[in-house]
Amino acid sequence: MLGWLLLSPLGVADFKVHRVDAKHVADRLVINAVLDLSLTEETEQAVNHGVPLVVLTEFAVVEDGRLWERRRVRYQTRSRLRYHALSDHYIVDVAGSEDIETFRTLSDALEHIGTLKALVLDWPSFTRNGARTGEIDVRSRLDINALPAPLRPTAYLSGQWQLGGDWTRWRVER
Amino acid sequence: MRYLLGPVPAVVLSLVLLAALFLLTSTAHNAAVSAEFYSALLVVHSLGIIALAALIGVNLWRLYRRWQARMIGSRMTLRLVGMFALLVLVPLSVVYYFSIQFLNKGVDSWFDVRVEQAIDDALLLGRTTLESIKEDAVEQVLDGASRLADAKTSIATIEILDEIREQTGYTEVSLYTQAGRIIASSSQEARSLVPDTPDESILSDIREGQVHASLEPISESQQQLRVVVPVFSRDVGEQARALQVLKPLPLRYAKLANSVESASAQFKQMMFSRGPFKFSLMLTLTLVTLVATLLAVWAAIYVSQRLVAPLQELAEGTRAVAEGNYRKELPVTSSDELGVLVESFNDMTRRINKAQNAVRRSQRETEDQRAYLETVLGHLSSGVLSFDRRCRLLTQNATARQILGTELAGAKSRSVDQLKQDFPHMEPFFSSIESAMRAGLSEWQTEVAVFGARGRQTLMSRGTRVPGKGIWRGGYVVVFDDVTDLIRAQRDAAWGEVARRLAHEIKNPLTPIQLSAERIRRKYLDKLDSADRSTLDRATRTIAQQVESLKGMVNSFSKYAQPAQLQLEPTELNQLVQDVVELHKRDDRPMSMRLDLAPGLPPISADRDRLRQVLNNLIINARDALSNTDGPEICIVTRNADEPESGYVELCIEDNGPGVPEDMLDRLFEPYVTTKEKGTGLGLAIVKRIVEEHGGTLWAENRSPCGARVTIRLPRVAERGTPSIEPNLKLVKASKRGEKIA
Repeated sequence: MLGWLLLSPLGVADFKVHRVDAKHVADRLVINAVLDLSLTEETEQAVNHGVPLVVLTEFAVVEDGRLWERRRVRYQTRSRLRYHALSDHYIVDVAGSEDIETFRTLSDALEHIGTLKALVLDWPSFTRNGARTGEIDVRSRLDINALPAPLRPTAYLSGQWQLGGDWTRWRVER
Repeated sequence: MRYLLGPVPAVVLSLVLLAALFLLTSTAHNAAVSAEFYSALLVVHSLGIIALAALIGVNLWRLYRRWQARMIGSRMTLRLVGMFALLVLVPLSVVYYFSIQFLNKGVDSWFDVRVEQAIDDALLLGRTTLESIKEDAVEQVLDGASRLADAKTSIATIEILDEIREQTGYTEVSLYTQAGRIIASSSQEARSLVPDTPDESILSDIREGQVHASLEPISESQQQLRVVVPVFSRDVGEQARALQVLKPLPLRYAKLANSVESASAQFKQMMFSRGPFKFSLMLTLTLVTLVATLLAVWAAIYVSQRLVAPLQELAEGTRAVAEGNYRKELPVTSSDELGVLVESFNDMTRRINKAQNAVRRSQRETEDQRAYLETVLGHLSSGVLSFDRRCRLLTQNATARQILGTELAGAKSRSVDQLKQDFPHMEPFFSSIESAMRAGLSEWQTEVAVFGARGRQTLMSRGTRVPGKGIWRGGYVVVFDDVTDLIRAQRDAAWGEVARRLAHEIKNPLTPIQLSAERIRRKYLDKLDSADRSTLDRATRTIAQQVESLKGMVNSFSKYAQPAQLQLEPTELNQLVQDVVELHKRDDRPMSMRLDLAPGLPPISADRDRLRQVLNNLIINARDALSNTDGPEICIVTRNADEPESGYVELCIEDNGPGVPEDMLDRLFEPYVTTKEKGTGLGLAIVKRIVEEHGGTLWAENRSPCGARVTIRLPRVAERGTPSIEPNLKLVKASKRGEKIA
C-alpha cells in the first residue's frame, strides 16, 4: 500500500503559475496573474462525468523570521469548475460570488480560471516600511478535499489527481 | 530485546493501528480532513503493519531457532501457534473473500443499467425539448432579422428591436457588428445598461453566416436562451450584422431541466466514482483484515507462549529432577489447573528432596558406621570373615589376610568350597567353617591346625550366625585367631617353670648329698677292708660324679629358664658365619663345610655371642647327625627372605644326614627332645630361645631325598643403623607370621 502510494503514476498535466504582475497602488498590491491549467485524463473524465473540481490559488507574502523566512497566505481564491450536461457547457463560479460563467469548451473554462485580474493583497509590512522590493509566493492546486467523498481516497493516493501544489516565488517592486 | 518482544510494544502498536484504522475509515469521507493527514494516516498505518509484521517475524524466528535447538516446549508452541493462526486465518480469509465479492457485486448492483439508460433518455428528452424551443426562437429571430435588413435608420432599427422584443417576449434584443460592437439594443430591464455581448466564438459563427442558439445557465436554478443570427444587408458589400436575443427559460422548463440535469450529474458522478469507491472500501477492508490477521497471529504466538510456559517450566523441572536436582521449585504464576499442577510438582520435589536428604543422612551414617566397623575390624588382632547365607565370602579384615597368609581381595563372593580349592593349605580351616555353616549352627568354636608355606599354625575360630535382613540374613561371621604363638608360649612357660623348679628342688639337695658322700668316704674308706673300700670308693665317686652331672644339668636348666640380656648391635651375618665355620674346620673328622652366602646381605641386629652360640649348636647337631653318613656335608646358606620388603634375612643350615623323624619335627625345638644318646636335649631349645629373643623365627624340615634343614629368619637392621623392629614387637610379629614347626 505504501509502495503503491509512492509509486502511483503522476499526471502529465499540471497547474503552473505562468506570470504574476504586481503593482503597488495606495498601500496595497494589485496583482494580475496568469496560470497554465491543464487537466489529466482522469480529472478531465471526472469533470465530464459531473464531478466538480475546485482550483485553489493562493498568494502568500514572504517575510524574514528570526531563524528562517515565514510564508503568510494573504489571499486565496477558489474557482469551481463543473460540466452542465443539458446545455453542454462548462460552468465556472468563484467562491464568495454568485456570478457564474459558462463556457462552451473546457479549455476556455480553464483559461478563464487561470486568468486572475486585479486581486488586491494586503501587505502592510511591505507597503509601509519603504522597502523597494518584496517577494510573494504563488501556487495553484486542485483541492482534493473538495472532491466528493468516495473519490477522495483514490485522489489522495493517485498521481493523476495531484495537480499543482508547488510554490513559485515572484519579485515585487514598488 | 526481551522487552521489545513482550506484550507491551505489541499492545501499543495494536492500539495505534486500531486508532489509525478508525481515523482512516472515519476521515475518508470527511471533507475537513486534508490529503496530507490522510496520507500521514496511511503511512502510519503502513509503518505500524510493517512493525507488527516484524515483531511477529522475530517471534517466529526465535521460535524456529528454539525448535531447531530442540528446546523443551518449542515444538508444542509452534504447533499451538500454527493451530491458532489457522483457526483465525481461515475464517478471516473466508470473510475477506466473500466481503470483497459482496462489495464488488453490491456496488455494481447499485448502478443498474436501466437506471442509467433512463437518466440518459431523460437528458436526451430534455435536450430535444430545449432544441425545439431553440428552433422556434431561431425562426422568430430570423424573421426579426429580415425585418431589420430593411431598416434604413437607427431609429427604425431601434423600433424594430423594441417590436421584436415585445412580440416575442425576449428580455434583451441587441444588434452587433461582426466585430462585436453594439449598434442598438432593446432591453426589458432598464437597469441593464450594458448588453450581454456574445463571445468571440459566437461572432465567428455569425461571420461565417451561421446561426447560434444555445441554452446557458445563468444561475443555479435559471437558464437563458441565447440566439444569435446574422442580419444581412440589402446593400451589396455591406457587412452582415448580428442580432442577439436573450430570454430566460420558462420557469416550468427551467425546473424540469434543472431536475434532469441534477439527477443526471449526480448519477454520472456516482458512476464515475464507482471504481474509486470500491477501491476505497476494499482498501479499508484489506487494512482491517490485515491488521486483524497480524494481531491474531501475534496473539496466537503470545497466548501459545503463555500456555506453554508453565508446561515448559514443568518439563525443565522434571528434567532437573531426573538429573538429581531435587531442590528445583517452579514459580506458581496462575491459580488454574496448571497452577495446581505446578504446585503439586513443587510439593513433590520438596518431598523427594526431604527423602533424599534423609537417605543421604542415612547413607552418611551407614558409611560412618561402616568406616567405624572397618577401623575396628582393621585394628582387631583377630581375623574376621563374613559369609552370606550361601556361604560366599563377603568381607574380610586385614588381620584375616595376615593370619591366613593369603590375599583375599579377589576372593570376594567366592564360596567356601571354592576357597578350599583356591587356598588348599587352608582347607582344614575352611572345611571347619563350611561344616558348621552347613549344619546350621548358630554359634560354634573350633581349633584347627593348618600347615602352609609358613609352617604349622593353630587357628582358633568362633562363628556366629548373623541376624538381620537383606544380604546379611542367614549369613555368618567368623572370628579367628592364630593361637600358635600362644600355645607355644604356654608350652615354653611351662617348660621354664619346670626348669626353675628342677633347679630349685634338685640343686638344693645335691650339696648335702655330695657332702654326705664325701664324709662317708673320708670316715669309712680307711676303715674298710680292701674289697669294701673299693666298693665304697666306687660308690662315693659315682655319687660325686652324678651330683656334678646333676648340677651341670640344673645349671643348664637355669640358663634356659633365665631371660637373657641381649647386647644388640649391627652384625654382618656372613662374617659371623665365616668366623664360626673357621673354628669348626679345625675338627679332625672328615666333613665338608660348604658356604653359600648371599653377597651384599644387609646387616642384622644381633647379640654376636648369642648368635655365635646358635651357629655352634646347629653345626654341632648337624655334625653329630652326620656321624654315620658317607660323604658328610654341611651347607650354610644366607639370603634375603623371599617376601619383598619383608625386612628379614634367612640363615639355613643343611646336612645330608638321615634327617629328623617326622614325629619329632614339630617338637624338635622343645627341651629334652633329642635323637642323640648323649647330650642334655636343650641345645636346640636354647637355639630357639635365642632366635626368638632376636625377634626371629626358625623351623626345621627334612630335605629331599635325605638330610635336614634348619631355617632361621632374623630381622635386618633398618636404615640409620637401628633395628627395624623392636625385639618385643618382633616377637609378636614373628609369632603372627608363625613357625614351621612349633
